[in-house]
Amino acid sequence: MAACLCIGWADTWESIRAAAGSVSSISADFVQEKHLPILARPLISEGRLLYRRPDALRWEYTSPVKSVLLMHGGDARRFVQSDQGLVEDVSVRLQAMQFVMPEISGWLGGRFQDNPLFDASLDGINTIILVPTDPGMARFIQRIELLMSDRPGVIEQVLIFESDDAFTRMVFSHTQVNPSLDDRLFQEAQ
Amino acid sequence: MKRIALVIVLLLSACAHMPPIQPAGTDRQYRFEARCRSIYPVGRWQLVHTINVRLRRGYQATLTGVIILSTADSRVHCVLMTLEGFVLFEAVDNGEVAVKRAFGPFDNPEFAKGVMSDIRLIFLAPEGRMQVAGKFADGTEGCRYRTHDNRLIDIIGAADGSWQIQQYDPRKTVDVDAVDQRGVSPKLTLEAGGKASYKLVMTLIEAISLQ
Repeated sequence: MAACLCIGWADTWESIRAAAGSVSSISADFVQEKHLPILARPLISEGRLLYRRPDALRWEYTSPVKSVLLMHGGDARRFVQSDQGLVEDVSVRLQAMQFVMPEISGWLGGRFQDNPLFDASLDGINTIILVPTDPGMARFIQRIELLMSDRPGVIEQVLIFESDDAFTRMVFSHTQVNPSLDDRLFQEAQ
Repeated sequence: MKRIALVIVLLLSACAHMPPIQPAGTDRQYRFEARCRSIYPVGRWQLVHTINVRLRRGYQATLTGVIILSTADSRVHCVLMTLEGFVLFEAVDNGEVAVKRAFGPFDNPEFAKGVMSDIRLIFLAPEGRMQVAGKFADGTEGCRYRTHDNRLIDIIGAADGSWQIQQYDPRKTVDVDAVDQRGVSPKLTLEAGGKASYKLVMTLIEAISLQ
């Protein structure tokens, strides 16, 4: 997953924002681990993330169950594989994803400090930490850590902590910066 | 006399939709009961499902459900989360339901009780006395239990290896695709009747023995 493209790109907010200006679209595969204290081993999911400036996002899981979350023009929809094929799932409107998706879009645009719901800080040279300022959000998310890759502009991992021992880790790979992404990828689940 | 008649009428109406069972011979009752109980996992398990919830008027949602089940002490720990991994509901049932986390529409004591009741119906053998085991009129075999809290539950085996758990009052039906040797089914469908009818389709992602 890419945020911007320059050497020392994650040193300051200014350099992050400046470099992010060159990113118009992103494609990346991801592996997601869900860690909970009660789990004998983490739950593993795999998928693909597509982003196109300014607000188009496709968050697709390919396993263990296919589901596609689409965001385009401010509208969020989710489709889930069922016996009848990919069926629209209305629960997305009830869930934290509604808050998180615009946030991700902001990260990918280098706008880490723009959301008043999170307090953003730089931790060392390759980590950004986001802490919810809103008590309602803090019930869902304790903090988010974004680990940057050595490769300029690439986010390597996202860690979303619900508590100290309950967290989600997303590890990105095969990241492409500025690929050509058709409209239908953000509008059609298939 | 009137009181006795009233009791008989009430009993008959309660049993009106309950199919009769032709009892198996006493020597075969144990074998029948063993078969009926084979559809339940035994020991400690971590079960992960994709749960498709369908309510009336076409509303449907899909969640990931994690269930830690301990049959020795009938303990259930349940976590419901979005497919993206955000926890929406977490509760433990040791005989009493304790909600650990719950958000939005999941933050409701009745919901918590309902979830745990459904999990118990699906994954734990009925706690109570087996009343009878034998054959139904259509030739299928099964067992009838009366639970400690006075519910009647039939466990019915089909020729293709699938099963049905039928609870009467409140009416709930669980269709169980053929279980493996561990007592774990790849797919379970629960349908609850009444005003707040709903359907749960649970597709197994993984089952881990925690022995």
